[in-house]
Amino acid sequence: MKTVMIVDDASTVRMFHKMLVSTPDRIIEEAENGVEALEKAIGTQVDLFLVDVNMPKMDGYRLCKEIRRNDALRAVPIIMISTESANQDAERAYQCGANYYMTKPVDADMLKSVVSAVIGESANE
Amino acid sequence: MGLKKKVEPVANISEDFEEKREHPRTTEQLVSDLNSDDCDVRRWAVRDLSGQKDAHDVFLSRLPHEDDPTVIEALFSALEHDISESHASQVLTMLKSEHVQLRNGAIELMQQNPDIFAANVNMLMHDDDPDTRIFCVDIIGAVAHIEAVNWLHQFALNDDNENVVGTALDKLAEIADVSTLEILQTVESRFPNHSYIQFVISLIRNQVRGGDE
Repeated sequence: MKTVMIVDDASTVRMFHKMLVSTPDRIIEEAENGVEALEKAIGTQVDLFLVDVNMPKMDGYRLCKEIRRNDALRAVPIIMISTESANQDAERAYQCGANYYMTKPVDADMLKSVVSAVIGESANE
Repeated sequence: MGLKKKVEPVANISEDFEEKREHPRTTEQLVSDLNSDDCDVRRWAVRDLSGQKDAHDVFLSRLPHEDDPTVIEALFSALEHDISESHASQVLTMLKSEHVQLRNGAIELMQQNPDIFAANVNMLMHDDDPDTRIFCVDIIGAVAHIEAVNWLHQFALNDDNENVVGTALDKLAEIADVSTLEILQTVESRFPNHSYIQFVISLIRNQVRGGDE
C-alpha cells in the first residue's frame, strides 16, 4: 500500500483530488495546512505529498522546505498545485524542494498519470 | 543589577533593554524603537504603543518592512481592534504581498472587521489580479456578514477566471443556501468542461437539497 497525503485548506479540493488519485492499493491522508501535514506525516509512512501553495498557518512553499529539512521525510516526492501560473512561482516551488509543479485547474488525467509515475518511482527505489 | 528579578517571563530580552523599559518612554522613543535592530525591542515597542493615538498608522507603516515573525504577529494583534476605514487601503495592499505572513495577517484582519471589508469588497471583486480576487473570496468564506453568500454568487456568476470561480464555489460548499441552487445552472453552463467546477456544483446541490430534507 502506498500513502498519498493531500494538503489543501479547501475541503472540496481535497475531496476532488482524493477522488482522482484513489485506487484500491493507496491510502489517502488529508491535511488542511502545512502544520497539520507535518504533524500527521511524522511517524507515518508517506509516499507522496500533493500540496496546495496558498494555505493559512503554513503555506506550501514552507511545507516543502520543512519536508526537505526533515530526515524522515526528505526523500518523499512532492507535487505542488497552485493557482499561480507565473514562471517565477514554479521556479520558487522547485527551489523549495518540489518535484513537480502543476497549475489549477489540474487536468484530471495528467494528475493521475503524474501521481502513478511518482508512486511507481518510489516503489522502484 | 544582576539580582534583579524579571517582572514578566519574557525570554531573550537584553538586560540593558529591560532596565530601560522600567522607565517611562515617550511616544517618540517607542516609535523609534520600532526600527531597532533588536526584535525584542521592536516587539515591546508594539506592545507599549498599543492603544495610543495614531498607533495604528505607525504599525501599518512598519508592517511591510518587518521581517521577524513574532513582531509581525504582535503588530497584527495590536491592529485587531479599532481599525478604521482609513486604514483599510493599507491592509488591503498587503493582500498583494509576496510575504505569506503579511498576506495571511491581512486576510485575518479583514475577517475580524467585516464592516470595513464590506465597504471594500466591490473594489476587490474587480481587482485586475485573480490572486487578489481569490484572497477576497477567502475572506468572504470566513467573514460573518449577511451579504457573504450574495458576494460569492456574484463571483461565481461574473468572474472570468476559473480558479476564482472554483474558490467561490469552495466557499459556497460551506455556506450555500437555497438561493444558491438558482445560480448553479448558470455557473455550470459557463464552465461545461471544467471537471472541478462541475464536481463542486454537484456537491453543493446535494448538500443544499440534503439540508432541506
